[in-house]
Amino acid sequence: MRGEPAVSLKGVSRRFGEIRAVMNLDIDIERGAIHGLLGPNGSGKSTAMKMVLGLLRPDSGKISVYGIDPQTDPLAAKRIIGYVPESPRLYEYLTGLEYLDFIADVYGVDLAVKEERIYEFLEAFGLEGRENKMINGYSHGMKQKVALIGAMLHRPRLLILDEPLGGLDPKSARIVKDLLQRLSGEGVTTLFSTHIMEIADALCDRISVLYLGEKIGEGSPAELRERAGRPGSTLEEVFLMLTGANDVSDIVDALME
Amino acid sequence: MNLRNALRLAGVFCLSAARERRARGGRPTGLARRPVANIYYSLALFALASGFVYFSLGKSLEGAVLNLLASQLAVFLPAFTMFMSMIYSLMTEFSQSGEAVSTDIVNWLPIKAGDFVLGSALTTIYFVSPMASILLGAVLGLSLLNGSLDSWALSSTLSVYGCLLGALALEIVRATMSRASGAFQGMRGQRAVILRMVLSVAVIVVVSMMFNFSVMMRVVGWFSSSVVAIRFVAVLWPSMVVLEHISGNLAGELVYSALSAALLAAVYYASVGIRERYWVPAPVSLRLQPVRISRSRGILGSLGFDSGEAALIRKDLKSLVRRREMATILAIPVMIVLMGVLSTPPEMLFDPSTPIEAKGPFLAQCAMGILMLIYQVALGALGQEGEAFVNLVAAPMEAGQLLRAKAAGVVIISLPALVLYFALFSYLTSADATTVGVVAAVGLTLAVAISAVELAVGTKYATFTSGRRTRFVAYQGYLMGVFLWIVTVGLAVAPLALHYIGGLMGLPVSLALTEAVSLAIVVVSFRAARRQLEKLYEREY
Repeated sequence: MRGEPAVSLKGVSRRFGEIRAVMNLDIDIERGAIHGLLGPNGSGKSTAMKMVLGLLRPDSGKISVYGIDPQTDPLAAKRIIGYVPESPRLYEYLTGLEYLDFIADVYGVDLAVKEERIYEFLEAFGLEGRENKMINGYSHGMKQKVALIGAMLHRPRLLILDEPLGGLDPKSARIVKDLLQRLSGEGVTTLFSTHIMEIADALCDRISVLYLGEKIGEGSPAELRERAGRPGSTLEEVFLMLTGANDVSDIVDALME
Repeated sequence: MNLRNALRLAGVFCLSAARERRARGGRPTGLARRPVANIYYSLALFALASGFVYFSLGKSLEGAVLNLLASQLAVFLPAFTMFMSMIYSLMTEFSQSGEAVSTDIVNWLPIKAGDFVLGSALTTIYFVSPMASILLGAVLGLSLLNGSLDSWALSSTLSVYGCLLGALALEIVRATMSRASGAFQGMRGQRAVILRMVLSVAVIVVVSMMFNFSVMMRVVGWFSSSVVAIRFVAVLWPSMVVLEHISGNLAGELVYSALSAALLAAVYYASVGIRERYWVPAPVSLRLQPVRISRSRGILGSLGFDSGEAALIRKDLKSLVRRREMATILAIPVMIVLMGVLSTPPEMLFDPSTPIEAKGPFLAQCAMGILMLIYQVALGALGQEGEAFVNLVAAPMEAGQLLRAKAAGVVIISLPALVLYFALFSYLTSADATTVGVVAAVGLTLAVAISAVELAVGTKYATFTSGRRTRFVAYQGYLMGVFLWIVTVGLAVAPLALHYIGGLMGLPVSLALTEAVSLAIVVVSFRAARRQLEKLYEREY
């Protein structure tokens, strides 16, 4: 452990009517760690991340982000968090540059460093030369990049990324992966969800596997393999086994009939 | 055209609107979520309106007055419903029904332009049916009293025709706007952005004016006498059918019926033709000149706004000239002012010897246009964030900061129009400094009060759906906004009315009362808006 956890969820539950989105979730994330949330659609990953950010209020349990309760002091929590939702929601009538300028101002980024920082990111993500085009003309991947830059401009201490690599080209995905590792070295904590097992395997220090709102497994990728009794198998096989979806041949057969 | 396809499309568009997501993530439940609810609602309003007129209002009228009123309303109802269906749809449902849905689905469905145009036009009629029902019910009440049911039946049929014609004209506006907007695809520069907005506003204004009978009467009247002019105003032909029927002129009735049918066919083919030429538009993307990253807090910073608030204000100002949906918000006030200009002879307006009372209606119409601009901009201030509202919720911004920025944005947008109005008022009336001062004080006060009220309503009824929208608030919010707009103006100017009309109090006292009432409205509205916004922060995202 590198000291007190950066993010801590204790007995966190959240329902949407009859649906149990998250049940009694306990997760501790070390400072500077990259923590992955894995799970099939509807397993509660996005709900858990929104609760950490303070966008959703848990029905029960306690959440702490660097010692701050996002429910009682949401502004303090939001100041140190950078968030990218599953689908980037940007102002389509602004240019990429105007959007980033707007986000930087909203987060109170120092005027002296703002421009340099924005252009550094634009260059790194290959958006230089396109920054003056309106966002409605951007591809999904370009929008994702703008959203990612927007989340990192204010140098957050915690990054919450919901499927951050979806729609990115291989080069940009690599940049994000390297960037997250570099940021981890600087003490920035990352909580992210993904469906891509290779990425989770390569990037995450620890992984929590969620299924129907409950945590059914947690550990480093190697630990998860070991606990599943399949040290030599891929993380995908471990994931499918844990979520009880390892044999899909019947489904495929039925579809082909 | 495939009628089955058109009806299916209309059904989907109506269903989509009926299930529109409301504020705080809730959805209509029970009957309210079914499109048929609007029909029941229309029938109830029809029964209420006819009952009210028949049992109370109509019985208080004398025979001659009753006959005159019943026949005049029956004659003008078709022309009025035509314009009403167009304007009402422009203000409330433009791009809400067909266009927003169509952008995503019809591109790859085997649908012809005719199917789409008819489906969308039927959706517009569905939307305007409650309004039309009130009018038809009221005229029925009068017709029952004077025994002219045949005229009512004819007028009602032609009113439905009028609604359809107005809806088809709206399709022309929609398709033309798409064409006009699409012409700017890939163009560069801020000038292209502004030109695109000016063109979009011009398309809405010009087509709408063409379907406004009073404006067309005025325009045709420039070239002939009004008696002759009425025959050449196409949008009045359905009304002429009723007039000729009441006069017992069968030949005239048949001629105008034929002309009306030809007009409907012409407008239908024009709308289908334009839609075919420019099918559903892809989002138009412009490349702007390189902008400089803001390095200082700027003027807004020196006015006391923090960096987040100033950024939000700048973003909203850009939104006003860049988003296609904003064209309607700008076009409606322009139309109101233009109608005032067209209905006032310029020689009378600019003649210094004309008394101020004679120029009053024109000045009132201009003021109405500006207050309508404030109403629309403030009402949609929060909802215009759309799904990107989540960015503001996730950002370290308090509800109060957000509201301050939104309110300031509305005031900044309306300020140039207000200053222009005060200058025009001063020039046209040659009024003394006291009168101009009173007008300026009351105008500014009203602007702030209406901004606050509509911001509160817009926050309560904000919709954050994706896609192009016009009004950015739920339908109930739009109606509530209109109601509170009238109440606010009424309350704020009541003390002045007591001075100018009743002479019941002195000017300083009435002015002070106006300011006090407006201030109270602002305080109450801001508190309500803040409460609503805090609730929005707690909804599910």
